[in-house]
Amino acid sequence: MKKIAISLYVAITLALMAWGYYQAIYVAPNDAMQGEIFRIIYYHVPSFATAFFAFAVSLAGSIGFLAFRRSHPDRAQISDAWALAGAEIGVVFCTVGLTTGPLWGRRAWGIWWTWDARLTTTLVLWLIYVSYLLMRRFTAGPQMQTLAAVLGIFGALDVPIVYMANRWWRTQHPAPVFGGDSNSGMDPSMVGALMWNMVAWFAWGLLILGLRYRVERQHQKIAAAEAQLALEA
Amino acid sequence: MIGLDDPFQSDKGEKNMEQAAILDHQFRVAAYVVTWAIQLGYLLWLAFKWRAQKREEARLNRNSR
Repeated sequence: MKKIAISLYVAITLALMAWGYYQAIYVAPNDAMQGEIFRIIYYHVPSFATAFFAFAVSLAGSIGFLAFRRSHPDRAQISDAWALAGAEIGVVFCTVGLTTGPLWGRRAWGIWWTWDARLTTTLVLWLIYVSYLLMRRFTAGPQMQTLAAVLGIFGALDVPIVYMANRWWRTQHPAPVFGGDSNSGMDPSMVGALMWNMVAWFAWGLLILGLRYRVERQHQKIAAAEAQLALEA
Repeated sequence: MIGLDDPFQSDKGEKNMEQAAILDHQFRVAAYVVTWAIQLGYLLWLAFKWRAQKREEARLNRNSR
């Protein structure tokens, strides 16, 4: 039953990805000012939205780990696995956003990169979570998970700053398309394509988040079994 | 002053527009390809990690018996 549900979810996700691509390329019109290059928005914005969701999962996992580490060790391990999975998936989607952004910027602004508040805070966010992953990869010992949880919470504090950066400061990055001032918004003929791609990338993000969580839980079980074997030897 | 009725300038302008459209297309394709390369690359890495852990689990089970 579980296998069927997972297979169905994978099939729906792949169908959504194909439909999202079709919408982005064949249904949405070219932007009047930017032409075809504007179609990068259909991958760029959903990638960051999914990255922010993944970092929120990492934040919840980190808080959960710190809350349960003494009282409920099992729950703490589950929380830690979610924290790691969220951070890793967040970095993957953030990397996509930080790669597609300069490709878009080169054509739209004539430059690959600029140190404005939006771009800089995003790069800082990416660096914090990359350092989180490196710390988890190259350190060991009982304090590693606690330190990682603290860093995970610290990193998540940058997410609202990234989100608000182009509202608080004047940036090269455009003003918010949704939820901005009275001039913000998108032509209705493009909204559908963006929403379908949002749903598709979110579904994909959930899929790989779940997979990464499973892999980490398996890793924890192996580590526990190895420790048990070492004690018995 | 450049007039639209100037055949040479008009032709040059059209060529520039065409070149810009080609570049836009190439950059858009590059962005989509990079997105999929990163996502599928990560999925592949995850699959390898999963398989390695399965092997490790089997080895541990053999040792514990």
